[in-house]
Amino acid sequence: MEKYAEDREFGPPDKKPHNEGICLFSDSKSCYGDDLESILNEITPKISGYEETIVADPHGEGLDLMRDDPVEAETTILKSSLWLVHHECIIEDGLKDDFRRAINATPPRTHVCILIDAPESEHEEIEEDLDEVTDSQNVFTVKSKPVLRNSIRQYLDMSANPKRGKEEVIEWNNNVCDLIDARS
Amino acid sequence: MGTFSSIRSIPFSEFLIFGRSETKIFAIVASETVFLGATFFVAKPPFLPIPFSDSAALLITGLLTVVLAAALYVLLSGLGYQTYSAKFHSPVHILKCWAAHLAFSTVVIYIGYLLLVYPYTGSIVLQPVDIGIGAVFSTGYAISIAGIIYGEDYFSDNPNTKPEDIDQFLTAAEDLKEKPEPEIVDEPGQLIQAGDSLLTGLQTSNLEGTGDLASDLQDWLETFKQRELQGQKKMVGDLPNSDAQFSVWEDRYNAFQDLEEELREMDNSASRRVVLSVRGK
Repeated sequence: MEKYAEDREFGPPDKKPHNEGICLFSDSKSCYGDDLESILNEITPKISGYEETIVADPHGEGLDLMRDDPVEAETTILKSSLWLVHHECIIEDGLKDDFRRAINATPPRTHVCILIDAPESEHEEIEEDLDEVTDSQNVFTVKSKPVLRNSIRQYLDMSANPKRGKEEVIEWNNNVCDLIDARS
Repeated sequence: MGTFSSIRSIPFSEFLIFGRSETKIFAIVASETVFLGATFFVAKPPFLPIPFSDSAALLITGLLTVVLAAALYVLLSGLGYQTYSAKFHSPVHILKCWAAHLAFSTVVIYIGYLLLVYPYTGSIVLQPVDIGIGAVFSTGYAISIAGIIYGEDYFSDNPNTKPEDIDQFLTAAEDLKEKPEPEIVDEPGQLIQAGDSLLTGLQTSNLEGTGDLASDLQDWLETFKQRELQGQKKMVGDLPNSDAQFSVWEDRYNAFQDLEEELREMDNSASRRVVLSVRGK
């Protein structure tokens, strides 16, 4: 990951689009029963300037990295600005404190989306369990596939797309580079 | 597919000029006239200037033909090595080219024999010594054709950097895969530079199959250029050892493996592959 120049342009003919990493933390690799790749395939055609100013890539090894070494994992997962975390990863894998630390370390505009995938009757209890993790302003919860799909599309189209505001994207990218440099 | 049907499926000129420009055909025809004149000496005495017995002449011409035919194979193998087509690095395919060159040159030499010797002998049937000397001339003529093609490349303004590009591409990919992220300096840049150069070579090649490989390489390179280091490493095989890997990365890595296989095939000439297989490597 390299710092972007302040005056960097994205898009054709020669410029590299912003590479948006989407990090999934899930044992099943899926989101509400759907493969993340298929969700992205549905969404990306609707994103303005996709493949020109922005491309999105899913990375599925987030949970494995956290299980191996939560501190070391941050140097990899910080590079993704959209995290999709299945609630069980936080609650049942004993990684609650590690996730809280990792989320607190993210720069502003990194979007942490916790997927609550359980019967509606259990939602309240799960949200209570997640309480300390969701302190950060970067954290959002979703409880259904349509909401998740809409959230990802909006994020990729509006928040992470240099076409809608390249200054924010450059600032986020350079913040992450500084954070990673500081750790090495 | 049989030998004849495979030969028919490829333009004959590919076998003779290895996808080089058509102007070389004219150069070959021009050189042919020189050899037509030289075939004057193919006939029996009084046109054979050196007084050998028939059996000695046959032995000498036979040995010379074998040596020249082997030299022709090595020469054609070198020409095939310069191309961007994996097929032209195959010993069997070069053997087909070798046969095509010999067939073409034998026909030319025989026509020359008929034109220049028939008026004196009144026979179209070759004598044993004529066959021996004709074989030497035919292989010599075939070597001259291959030499013309070689010479055109030698004096060309565009040096063939394919071997260096393949080496740089594969080395950069290997380093990118093996090294941890903090140790990676310019491997992605080197891979892109070599890949672009190979792509230009493939796109400008007129040989069968190079268009498909160019298209595959272009697609893969376009994606590679758009990815961050984390994704670039996955594209050359640094995939997490878990079932959390998305198939999109596996597909991209599989595409790289196919490209790598084709490039490795292009990294050895046909004659070198023959030598290696003889040595059992």
